[in-house]
Amino acid sequence: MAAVTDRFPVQQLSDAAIIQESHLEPENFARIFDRYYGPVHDYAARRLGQSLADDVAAETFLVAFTWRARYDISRPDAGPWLFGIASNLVSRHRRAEARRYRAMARTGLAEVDDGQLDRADARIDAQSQRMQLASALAQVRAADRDVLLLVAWAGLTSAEAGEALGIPAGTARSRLHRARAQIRAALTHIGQSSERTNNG
Amino acid sequence: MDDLQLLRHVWEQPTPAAPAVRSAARARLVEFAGADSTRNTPRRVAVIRPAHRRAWLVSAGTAAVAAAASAAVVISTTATGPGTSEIQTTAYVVQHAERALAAVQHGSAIQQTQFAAARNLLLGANLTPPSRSPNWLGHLRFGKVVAFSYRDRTLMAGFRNGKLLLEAGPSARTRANGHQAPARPVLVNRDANTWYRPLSMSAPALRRMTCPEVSRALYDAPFLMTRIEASPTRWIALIRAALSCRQFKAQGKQRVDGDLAIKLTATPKEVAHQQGAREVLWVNSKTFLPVRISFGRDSATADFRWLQPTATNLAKLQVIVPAGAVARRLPAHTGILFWQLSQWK
Repeated sequence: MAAVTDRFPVQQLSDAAIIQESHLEPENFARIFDRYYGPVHDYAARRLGQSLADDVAAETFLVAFTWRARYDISRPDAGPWLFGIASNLVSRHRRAEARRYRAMARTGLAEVDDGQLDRADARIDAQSQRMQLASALAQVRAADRDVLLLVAWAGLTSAEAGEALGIPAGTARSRLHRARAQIRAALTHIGQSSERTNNG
Repeated sequence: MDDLQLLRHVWEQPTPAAPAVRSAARARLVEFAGADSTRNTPRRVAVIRPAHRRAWLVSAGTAAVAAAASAAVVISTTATGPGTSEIQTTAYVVQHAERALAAVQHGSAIQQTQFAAARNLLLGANLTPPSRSPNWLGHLRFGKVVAFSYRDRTLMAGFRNGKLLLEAGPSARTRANGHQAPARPVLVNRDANTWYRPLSMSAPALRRMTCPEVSRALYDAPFLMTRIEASPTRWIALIRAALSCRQFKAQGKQRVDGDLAIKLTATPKEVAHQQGAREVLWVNSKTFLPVRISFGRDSATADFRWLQPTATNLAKLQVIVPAGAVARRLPAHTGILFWQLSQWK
């Protein structure tokens, strides 16, 4: 059986092919949903929290379906396009996102438990680092943050992030560079401050 | 561990969406897809325009008007009606249309927009966001939607065979000036004799757009017609922006509903951007306010009327809940969305 599968591998349709098909059979677009709902929801949840993520993820696919005629079918992977739409929808909740970062910078607490962290000291470390990161993220310019988080959380390259946001790859690279520099500077600054506090 | 790794590993791992939420979102998408207006119609598949697009930021747009003067087009003098001997350029028309629209946006008139469903199409409505909102409106179909907009308030009403079926808009009165009571928008389903609240009809300010974005938004306007962000009120802002981007040129004069209007057609470049869709805009030859736009897509056409902001006309912006209608509560932040449908039962 395995040999048969090896010899005749099932050809998986590319995202572009599914989107093209969906012009004639709109319901086929649900296959794009099945492929990407999880990652898009995760991305939105990291940026906005669980409750808003449900709405943003659902709306991402409605918007994508509506605009599918604009999809560049020369690009087989629809991920960057979908994450771009999700980012635009997230941008409607800038205030909620900023509030979330500020709250996390104060408390380090996310709305879910860290089940994956077993040891108490690991949890405390993670909480402390999360506070620093949240504080740093809150200070990054929104446009730069979009690129940074598409790379860090959606797993896109800087070029793909540029494609997702409709900006040139060079611009995406420089935004990513600027955002990372800002994050590193903030982390270093915070690290030095805490060392001084501990030593003093 | 570098900063990117820190972001990936230290940030909390999000909990996957609840199966019920995921299923509801998928079901809504399938339903939305099933109602797609283009079912069984091969769609033009567009290539996303290059990312290196020219960034013409649309502001007041008057700078573009000056530039347009260099490409002035003389309006045909063969058209009928008074004033045909005037020689007006595209720049002249665009400049006056922009001024008129700017005045409207500052409250000089109430905008009435009538959008009739394109041939063989009907309009439908749903509550948004889909993941939380019950599908109470899924069965309603309209032949036309009429919207009244004044300042930041909008009322939208759906009709079928001349009968009012659905109204969404402020329940409070709108005044021409001075203190405004909170709008408290509601939704009335006259077909089911029910009404719903609270309804969210607040639209975020229109962001600055590049000319290609304006072009894209205008192309999509009739397809997703009354999403709050793209409601008929916004069409006027989009038309204004499109004029600033020199996306129209004057072609002559025609009568629209008996009044003399200047016909503006999309430039060849714009038609190319719109995948062949030819937008045509008519502006009143005296007031320079838009009277009709043909979007060039799905034969969709919208007619505009401009009403004085008198107490009688402002009353058109208020939804009156019929006596005996059953009240239902909506989840917070629920909005309403209209779109075109190709098939119905």
